[in-house]
Amino acid sequence: MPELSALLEELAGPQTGVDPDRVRLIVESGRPTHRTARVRRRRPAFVAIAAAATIAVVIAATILVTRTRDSQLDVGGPGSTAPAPVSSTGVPTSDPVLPPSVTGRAPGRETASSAAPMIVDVDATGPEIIDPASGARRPIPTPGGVARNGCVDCPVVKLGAGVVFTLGGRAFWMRDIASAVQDIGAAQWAYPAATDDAVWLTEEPAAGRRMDLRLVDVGTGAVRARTSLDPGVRPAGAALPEGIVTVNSGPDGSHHVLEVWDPSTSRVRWSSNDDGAFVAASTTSTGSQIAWRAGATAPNGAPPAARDTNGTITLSNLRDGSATKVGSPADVGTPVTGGSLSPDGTTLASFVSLSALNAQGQRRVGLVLTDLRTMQASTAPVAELEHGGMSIAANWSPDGSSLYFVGAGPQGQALRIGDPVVHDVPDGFRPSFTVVG
Amino acid sequence: MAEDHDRDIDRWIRATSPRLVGALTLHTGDAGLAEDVAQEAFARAWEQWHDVSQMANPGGWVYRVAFNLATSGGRRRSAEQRARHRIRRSTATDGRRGSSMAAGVADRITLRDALERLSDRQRAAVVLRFYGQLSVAEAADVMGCAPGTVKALTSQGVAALRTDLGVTLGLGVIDGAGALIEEPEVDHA
Repeated sequence: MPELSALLEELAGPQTGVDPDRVRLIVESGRPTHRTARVRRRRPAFVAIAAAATIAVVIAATILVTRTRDSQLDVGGPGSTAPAPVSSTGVPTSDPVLPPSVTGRAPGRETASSAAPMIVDVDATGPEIIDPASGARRPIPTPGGVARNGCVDCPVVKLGAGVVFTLGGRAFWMRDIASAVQDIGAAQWAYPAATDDAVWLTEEPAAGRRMDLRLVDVGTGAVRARTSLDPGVRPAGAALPEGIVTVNSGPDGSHHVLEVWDPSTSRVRWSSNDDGAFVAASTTSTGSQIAWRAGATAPNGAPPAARDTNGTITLSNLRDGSATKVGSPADVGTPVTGGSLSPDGTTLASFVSLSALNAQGQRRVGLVLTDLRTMQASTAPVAELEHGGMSIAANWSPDGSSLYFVGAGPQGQALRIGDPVVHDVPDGFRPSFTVVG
Repeated sequence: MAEDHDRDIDRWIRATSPRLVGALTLHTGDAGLAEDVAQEAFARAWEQWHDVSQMANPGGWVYRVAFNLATSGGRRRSAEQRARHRIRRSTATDGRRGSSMAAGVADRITLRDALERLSDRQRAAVVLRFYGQLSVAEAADVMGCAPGTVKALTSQGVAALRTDLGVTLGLGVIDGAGALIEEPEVDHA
């Protein structure tokens, strides 16, 4: 059996890479870089500026009209309720990073029992549903029989008491581990809606085409609403009462700006205004908030204006427009990709690349829990994960009492909040699973 | 001081660029474009080395810039690529087919063709994961999407390659020296 990795190595062939001297020559040749080019563009004659401004206004008006016309959201669906006005927030550049203090122990929080059984999707042995509490498991049955192939990391979205996944071009819904699987329609992708009883379904659009979304009732498969996103805009994997969290990559796909797209008004309600990487979103009594990191590049390829090269997470509140930056304790390490908000929005779990190496000199990854009400941070006792090919991801249980994550080994692990001991989840779990409600 | 600066960048470019150029070659299907794009990405890194060197993952930054540039440039070249693709499919050389056959893929189309059939995002995910040796999280950062999306795109891409090539593919990640550096995450057996 040929290894795909080896085939790609062979196809790419031996590579000598780029000659640093040639790069130096390019830099020293004074070619118009993105920075100097921007400066030059600011020097045209006044008439040219006025003409450009007029054209821009016309284009913007055309786009606005087009987006409004293209949206076909039905009135009356859960996603069609007009949300309360929110102030648009720019990227905060002057807010100080709040330095959480380290208590060295996970913050205790009130925990409630989950009404719904935990359902876990395991990718390594085929799609499978597991109840971590009892260890009960069953393969996902599909119309074609038990699916053992063809579904690896089926996109799964969290619902209140069920799981939606896509398989073979169809979307399915299961209420719990014991219930039957329901086919709810054709779809390649499933994304959460603002309410738990519906899900957005869609197909991958051709390059440069709009993505059409259908808001589908998970119980009946009935379509409640339809909308379409501009070319280059895709759901980021979360929805809020204010709209769908999206990533706008622009017509040429060269940047990734986070936005909240309101399908009922076809308006962008919030934007990161710069390259951003989505971390998580939640709605609490203080309003909806989005956790995100400044991306690696701005649209022109430069570091973004609001650059946080240390991986600081920004919490943007859509109700009051505030932005809070959460760093990690300086003596712990550098934040890396990955983070997750607790269901009640009060605790942020984020991963850091630890300052100290392990005995083999390898970089390790640790987990930091930050109580967003007090800004107290604690290092979770899982600071021994090797930084490698693993997927750094953490998933909260629906009741917020436990955090599930994947370590370097073949075992999923769980941390009960307030309990300093990390537990292995039931035998047989493999990396890359998704916890849903 | 300036010499240290130059030496640091030199070393970093020499260490990072071969695999980046290879990844771009697989992604764009054009070795010349791949080298141009990588060169431009490293030039930008050079100009902003003070900022880039402070980043947690400078390699991820240059991959992101390069893939963004390749995507922008790729659109302009798409018509040309489609034409090339049609020509290549009708006049595939024996040499290239022989190479793929030697690797155990003696089937209807070559791996190159199969890669070109993938969507841009599927191809990027497959190349970043299985050639670029990026973790799911790193690939997600480069592509500006969620880790779950990368995994799903990888899964779709691998399934399409398997169908097109007509073979079962091993999914361990192997480095240039042939050593297994990451166990398969998925089982298509």
